[in-house]
Amino acid sequence: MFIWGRKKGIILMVMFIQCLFLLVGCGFKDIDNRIFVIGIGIDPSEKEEGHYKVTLKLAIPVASIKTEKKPSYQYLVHEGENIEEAVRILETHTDKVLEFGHSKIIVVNEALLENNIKDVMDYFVRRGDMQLIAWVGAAKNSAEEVLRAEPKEEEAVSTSVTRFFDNNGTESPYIVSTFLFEFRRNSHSFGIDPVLPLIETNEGGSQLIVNKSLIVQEGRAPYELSSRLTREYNSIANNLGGYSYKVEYEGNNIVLNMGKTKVKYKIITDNKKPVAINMKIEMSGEVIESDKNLLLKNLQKYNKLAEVEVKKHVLEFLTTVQKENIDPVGFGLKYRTMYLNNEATMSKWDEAYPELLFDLQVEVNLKSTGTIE
Amino acid sequence: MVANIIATVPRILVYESKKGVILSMIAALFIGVIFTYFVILFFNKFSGQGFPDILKKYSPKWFYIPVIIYFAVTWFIAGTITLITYVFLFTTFVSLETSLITTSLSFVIIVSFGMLMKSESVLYMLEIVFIILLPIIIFLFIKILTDVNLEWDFVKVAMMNVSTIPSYRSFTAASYLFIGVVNIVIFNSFFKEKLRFGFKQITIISTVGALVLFITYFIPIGFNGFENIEQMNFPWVSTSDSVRMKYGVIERVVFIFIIIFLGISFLSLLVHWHVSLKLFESIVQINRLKWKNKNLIPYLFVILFGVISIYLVSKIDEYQLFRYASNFYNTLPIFYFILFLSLFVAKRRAKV
Repeated sequence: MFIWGRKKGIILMVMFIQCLFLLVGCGFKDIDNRIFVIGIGIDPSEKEEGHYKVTLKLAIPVASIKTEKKPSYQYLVHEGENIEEAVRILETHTDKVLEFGHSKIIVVNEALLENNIKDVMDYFVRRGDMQLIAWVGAAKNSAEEVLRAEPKEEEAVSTSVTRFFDNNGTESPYIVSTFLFEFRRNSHSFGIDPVLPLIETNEGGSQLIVNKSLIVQEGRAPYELSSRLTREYNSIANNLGGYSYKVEYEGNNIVLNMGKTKVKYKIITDNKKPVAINMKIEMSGEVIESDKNLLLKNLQKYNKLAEVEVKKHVLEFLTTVQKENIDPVGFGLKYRTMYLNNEATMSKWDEAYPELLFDLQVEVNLKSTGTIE
Repeated sequence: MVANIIATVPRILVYESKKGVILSMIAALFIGVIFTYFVILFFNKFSGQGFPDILKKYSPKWFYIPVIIYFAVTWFIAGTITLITYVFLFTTFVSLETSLITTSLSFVIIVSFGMLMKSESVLYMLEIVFIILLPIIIFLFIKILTDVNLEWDFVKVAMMNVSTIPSYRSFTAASYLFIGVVNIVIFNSFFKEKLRFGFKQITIISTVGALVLFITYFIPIGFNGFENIEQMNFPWVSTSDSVRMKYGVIERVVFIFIIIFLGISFLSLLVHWHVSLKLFESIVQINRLKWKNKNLIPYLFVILFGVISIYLVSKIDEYQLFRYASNFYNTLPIFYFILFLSLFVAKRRAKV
């Protein structure tokens, strides 16, 4: 015991280090054992009613961005009774662990939006490792096709289909982008209906096009907004600018480009019953195209013409959604913030909404005629 | 106050969202501030003495032993709730494959070292971690509050439920925010001078309290809507996952959030368990349990704490955690009552 007494510390240390060799390793898998799912597509099954077809877009890691010309993907497709079952089977289609933490886009077939949205969404929200900031998009015919599209301009390590929505690259008033949490929030709430971008591909899948959108309401077929109405929606709900209007002045076709947009609205009530929506739109912009020479001093007149034009378009959008009894902007939600909550609030709104009047005030401020007069 | 976001408090608040949470929160704010004021007032009379010392001096044995045991157990449970909640959250969002036991074991081992430190060192550690983390927390909150996708209309809709009759459960959960001051029962022995608690301090505490309560309850609603908010198991983690830092190093705020609150919940756990340990130590004295002049009792308790909490982590499920936690919060008024009662008795006897 002589040695023990003198070198107790050292011996204990050595024993401790020896114990380290007994440890078996990490509880989690290393990155080379994982493969990243970057997109998920959900279609109705082709074989069986009520089943789903799940498409996973997997990114294959590249050694270096410079040497790689094209991105390489792998697609896994399987049908199952529910999404989880299909995903579980797909796990056996690859030798690596499927890592869902990086999936940035969920494409859902339009046919599923009518009755199964909550089903589909539930799985993605419930999974803790899925991002709530993944974008949700709708596909007209097949979500698989949208995911399989590989546009020519796509670079390695960047996925085209998500770059439409992230406002890093293209920014356009025709593109609606909806996060998963937003979609879930709006589809569960009264007084607002979620809007999803409609992602289309050209034939051959070498191009992706996003410029339409769908308003989703459970229990009915989603209402498709045309490109122009999508633009109108974006300008009202998200204050997005960057689009053009055509006006005519003394036989001259002038195209105006709108930059900044500011929208404010108020709900006018009479004895707690909504009667009208008072909306004020402020826009500023410039002339972008014209047949003939323009005079700078006429800008005020062009303003007036543009105001009429904008009013016409916005009103068209508002009355269209009103006729369909859908509310993508959230007027109903606004109404609910005005009175103490009780059961009657929402039914009062539902009753009044189809007959609401829209009172628009548009103020256009043209700044210049561009680089030439 | 900050740690409540990671505890079960927001879960209970959103669960009660249709049952008069707003009035309960206002009530909790007032009562919490008054409570804080009186606790500090009482302890100022006994500067430099811990609660066990005061009780031992001025009250009979049959009174102080049960009281201290009750306090210690309460504090242990409070820490355990934080631990279990965080372990659940960690396995749900970050490390799905790691077993619950491994995660909680790593927590417990680190906290055990902290518990055995001197109370003074615990205070210093609290300070350091807080100074490092608080700016990041404030940054995160500003980031979350200024996010474009935060729909204030939902917050307003939630506010429109102000007329509902308050519920007891949400009141106790909200008042849990102000329980931090009770840690003074041990740390008072280090405050040799009287704490200043005047108008300025009251204003600060009530504004910060109001702000924290507001953020805790309303911001998850702004992100997740009012109708289905009570279905969220981790309202705050889901909220932080809804924010995107476009040009941040990490796009998903949730990871920064979880890491920061790892530090916070660790602190909260450490302080709770440390106080609990000190309370136990003050009444359990067995002279035979000594080895080379070292008292083994704290080590025994640390092992006991670890074993119990790991057992609980493996046994309990999320629903039980929610139910037990809210039952625990419901018993807190008894705790306040006993605290005041004993302080009052001590004050009468000490004639200060």
